[in-house]
Amino acid sequence: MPIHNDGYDGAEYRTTISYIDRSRRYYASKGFEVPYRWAKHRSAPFTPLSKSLSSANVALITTAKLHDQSAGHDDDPSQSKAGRQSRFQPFAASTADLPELSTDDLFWHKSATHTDDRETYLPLDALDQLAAQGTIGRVNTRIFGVPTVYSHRRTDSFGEQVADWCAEDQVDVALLVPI
Amino acid sequence: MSLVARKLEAEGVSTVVLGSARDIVEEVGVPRFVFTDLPLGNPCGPPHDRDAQLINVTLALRLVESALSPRTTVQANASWPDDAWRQTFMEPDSQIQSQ
Repeated sequence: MPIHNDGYDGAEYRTTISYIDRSRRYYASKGFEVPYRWAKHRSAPFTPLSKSLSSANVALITTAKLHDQSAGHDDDPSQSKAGRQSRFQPFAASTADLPELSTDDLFWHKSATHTDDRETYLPLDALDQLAAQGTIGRVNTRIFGVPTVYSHRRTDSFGEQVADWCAEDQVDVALLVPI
Repeated sequence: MSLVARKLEAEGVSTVVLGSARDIVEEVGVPRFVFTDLPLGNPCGPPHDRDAQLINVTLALRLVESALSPRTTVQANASWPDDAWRQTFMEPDSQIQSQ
């Protein structure tokens, strides 16, 4: 019987990585007894676009950090809870005067790739191109940053803050790019 | 980030997530999702591949216009030079760890 695997090694397994399964196994191997509980929902909200994409204001939302807030993790035991909470806050930044962003302390596949090309996670040039060719109306004048934290409740509160900023800027479409 | 997408959508902003951790995004449940099957870190496309990055961002924004219902996933045509990375991420016995 012919094998149709397009050159994949390990074609007997699912190729798409389950990050939930991997993280459970990984942290269990490190002695953590209670696995992290990812948020799960049966349904999702839905807001149809109320205007054409070609007239929409598009905002970019990133998990990259401001460079001056980049050190440390949300679960760093050397920092107090209050200290971590004040340190990890959402931010708004002007695209005309973009601050230096950092991905150093974020969780990504550092042995396999790099983030030296900013467009791989903060596609402002691509958005500018789409605005120039008329695919979208315009690129919002601010980007928004959302820290990666373990608490669902805190993440929800970050969402409320970003929603307020989107309302201020009359954002129609949010492109969320988690690193 | 997926929770933020849900919050924004509930507040009247149409959202799309462009990302590489498919199971996490889909389990949380977002309105629209473009999946790039690449190592975590480059959700828009491989480094310095401007064509792929533009196509993926375009795909995401077109999905905002075309999706008819929530939890719509589209898989981008992402390619990476080899598949070794799939074996190394967060494997307990691997010498190569993310962090």
